[in-house]
Amino acid sequence: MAGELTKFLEEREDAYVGLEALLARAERGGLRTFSRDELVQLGHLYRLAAADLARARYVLKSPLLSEYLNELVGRAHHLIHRRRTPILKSVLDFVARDFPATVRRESGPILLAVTLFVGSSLVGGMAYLADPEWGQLVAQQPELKQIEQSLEREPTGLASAIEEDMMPAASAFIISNNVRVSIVAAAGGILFGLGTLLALVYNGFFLGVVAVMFLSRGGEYQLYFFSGVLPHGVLELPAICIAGGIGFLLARGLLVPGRLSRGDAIRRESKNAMKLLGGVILTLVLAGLIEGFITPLRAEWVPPAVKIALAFLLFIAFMLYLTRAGYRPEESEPEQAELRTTTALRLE
Amino acid sequence: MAPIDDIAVLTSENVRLTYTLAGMGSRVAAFLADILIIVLLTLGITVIFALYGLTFRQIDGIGAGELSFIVALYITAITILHWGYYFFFEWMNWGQTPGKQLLGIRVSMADGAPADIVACSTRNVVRIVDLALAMVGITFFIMIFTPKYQRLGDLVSGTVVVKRRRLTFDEIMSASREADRHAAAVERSAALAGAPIRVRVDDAERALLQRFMERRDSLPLDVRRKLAADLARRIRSRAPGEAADRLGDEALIEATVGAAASKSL
Repeated sequence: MAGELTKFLEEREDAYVGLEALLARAERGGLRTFSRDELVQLGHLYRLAAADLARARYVLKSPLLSEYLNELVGRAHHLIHRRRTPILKSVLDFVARDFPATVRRESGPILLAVTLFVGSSLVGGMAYLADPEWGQLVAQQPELKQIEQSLEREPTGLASAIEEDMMPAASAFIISNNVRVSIVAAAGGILFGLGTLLALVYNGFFLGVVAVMFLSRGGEYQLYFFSGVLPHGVLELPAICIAGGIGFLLARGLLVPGRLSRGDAIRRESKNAMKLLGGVILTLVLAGLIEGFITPLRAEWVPPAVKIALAFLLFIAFMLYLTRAGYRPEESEPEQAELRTTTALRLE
Repeated sequence: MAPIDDIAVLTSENVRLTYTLAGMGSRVAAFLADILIIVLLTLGITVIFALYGLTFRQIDGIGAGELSFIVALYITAITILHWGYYFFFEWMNWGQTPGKQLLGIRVSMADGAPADIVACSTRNVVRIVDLALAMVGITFFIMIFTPKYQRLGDLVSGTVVVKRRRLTFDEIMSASREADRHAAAVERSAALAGAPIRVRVDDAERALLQRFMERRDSLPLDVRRKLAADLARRIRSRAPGEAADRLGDEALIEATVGAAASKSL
């Protein structure tokens, strides 16, 4: 004796099994392998299953069939409503326009991070000048002692600390370390910005102490400090500041949500935040390659003055990139630009 | 009827999809499984690179520069594994890391849509804060006190973790046939008991009875008996008669659900 549900299932067997198979294939290999007929078939089966789901709930009243169709329709729904742009195109577009444009749009939190970072490095420098012992005590780091000891031996100190053979490994290590620091600084924003604040102030202070350690020794030391820090520093330091900006961006959504709910506000900020983080990581990779391969090149091959000049050019190029790349006039009037996008979407 | 652990989504076809939120237990278990997998992968990568480096060194004319290059590759691989594991799997594998797949749960947007790239990256950037807070137990407090069991990363990215149960057609077909046989058997036994059990139950009541039957095997025995007694008392109050009295508590519940199921499963 077959019940109502069993009869219904027997009727639908081909359709459901067919849909299961199409979904399994699409989830493995994507929709690209589908022929035109198969795509039409998928749409047809999806609508059938969706209609059956309503029927299973309210006419057949079957929790079992509802659950089965719920999953099936859900999977098909995800597949049909998902949007994907080609990966290479979106990466290129991101580098050429989206990242710098986002930096400009969120310049507020980023400038706050720059101020804090520069400010605390000044404080660190002055602290060391006032009392070297105290400056080191606050930035309690074994590296500081090492740097100071190496300075006692030779003026080159940091500048050519990396042996040529070790360059690739050192570069990879530096990149992974910087990525970690910047992710921590960005994620710390979720603690009302406190984590970000700490990360920026701590790193700024440390930099200030080290800088003054070199600079206060005069002449040769100054030259080697600048040539040993600037070539990669001109990318690395802005990247860390942008990472701090990401943290403050998240904190802003949390603390000043405006007319939105806190959840909606922070979700809106997080979109820009993740774009910035992508750009920060790319910048840090570039900076790490420079730090591993170019900064430590021996002074006999590349004189410090040349390194400093190159660093200066790189800095100008990076700032021009951030402020000008992919600039569109409507950026200055954000309200209007937003309006235009919505209209464009509606026309689509 | 819908328990609070469910979230509902309306598709463009005006059909409501529902998802059940994943419980704390399965989330912690999935987390531990993922950690284990990451540790094993790290060990595996380390061993492979170590062996590679050792054999490489035997070759004449290989200097520290080439070895350093291997070390660079190793550091890169480990960094990508540690920072990219969750993001990559959740983004590319329909919201499931291997650990989540094992436990049958997945990440989705709070409105049921698949988790997008921004959500996947945000929730995993914030993961590091959640981990730090979990060390002192705060993360669990946050999850308990948010209505959808969300950690900070979920709150920021607007995601939830839901159960994903994949029934196959064969499973529901055989369940349906099984229910038919069961209903037939119930009717036969009711006929043997003297009179058929005829209790009118509405949808909510039937769902309640069914939920009891689904879960009774996982309940402690005393809770199970007490619940069965409560439910059976309700049924008896509406179907006075010898047939209902002759059956035990659970048998009566089965017969009632069976009678309703013979009309609809």
